[in-house]
Amino acid sequence: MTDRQTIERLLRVERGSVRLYEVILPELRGEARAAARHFLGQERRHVDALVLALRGMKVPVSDAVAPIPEPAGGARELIQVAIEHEQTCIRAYLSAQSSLKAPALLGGAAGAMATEAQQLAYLRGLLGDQPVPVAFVAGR
Amino acid sequence: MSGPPWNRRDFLRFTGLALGAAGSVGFAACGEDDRAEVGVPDPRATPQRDRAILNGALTLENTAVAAYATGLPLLRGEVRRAAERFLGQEREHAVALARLVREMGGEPNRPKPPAEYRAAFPRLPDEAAFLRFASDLENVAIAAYAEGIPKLKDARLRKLTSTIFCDEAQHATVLLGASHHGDPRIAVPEPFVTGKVRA
Repeated sequence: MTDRQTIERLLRVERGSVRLYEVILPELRGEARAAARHFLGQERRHVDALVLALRGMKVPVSDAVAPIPEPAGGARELIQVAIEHEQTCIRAYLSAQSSLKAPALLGGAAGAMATEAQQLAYLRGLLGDQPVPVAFVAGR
Repeated sequence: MSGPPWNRRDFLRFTGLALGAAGSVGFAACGEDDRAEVGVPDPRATPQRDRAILNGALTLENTAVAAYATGLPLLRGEVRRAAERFLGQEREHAVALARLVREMGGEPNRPKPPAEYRAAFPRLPDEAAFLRFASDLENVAIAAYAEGIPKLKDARLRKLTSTIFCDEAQHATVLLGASHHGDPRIAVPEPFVTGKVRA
């Protein structure tokens, strides 16, 4: 897999993150809503950075969005959907660490992956679950 | 009893590590030549440098183990349970990194004697002081992983260290959450974790 293909895959996943938080944000209240709004802003930054990377390669940028889980139910269920999606993101970034070659892309992918991991921990905390259950975070 | 003043320079001197200049944030520094599409690996990456990076990370993990072990008697309740968990996880990281260094033909960096750590740590009179110290320590480790991971030649090592990097990032989120309850902007401060933003 080329760096271009890897970045395109990550972009689809991150566009999915933006869509997910846009959908669940109006349904949440209080601390959960504040978190979703903050995380939506961070996911948009990831999308912007990935688009910029593709433009730097002088290749067309697709609007494709990876499928996301169907959000439904109350706040607890919506947060659970976000948790599952964050794990999907972490797995995608972890896979990218194997396929990417350019150091700048590797660094960006690692930094974004760690933010997804922090968001995951925060969301788990909102549900009263153990926020950091394992020593090696692999999105599982 | 007062400890030495605590700052990152002291810590890096103590651990024998030096971080380079801040790396690029985001993905934008890929370059604008045609080779970028396929990606050009770092030509300086070698197995020897990989081993040195892992051994540097091991030193940080050994320090984190000593820090959590030192702080535990100060803590109660939920914070103590989190610190106990993090101590166990730092030990797991240290074991994994030492095994890798050994597999690569190196000698894993050993932990310093406990008294040496205690002398280098700041004065920790209470839980709040420990939370500040632990949070700073986690961020030093995060910054080291953020800079080290892209330099690793071996993709298998990049994946393993990324899983540790994410764990340290989660520790920082919990520690920041414990001292600034309920504010996601403080607990998850950066869209690209660098360890250079502190509450």
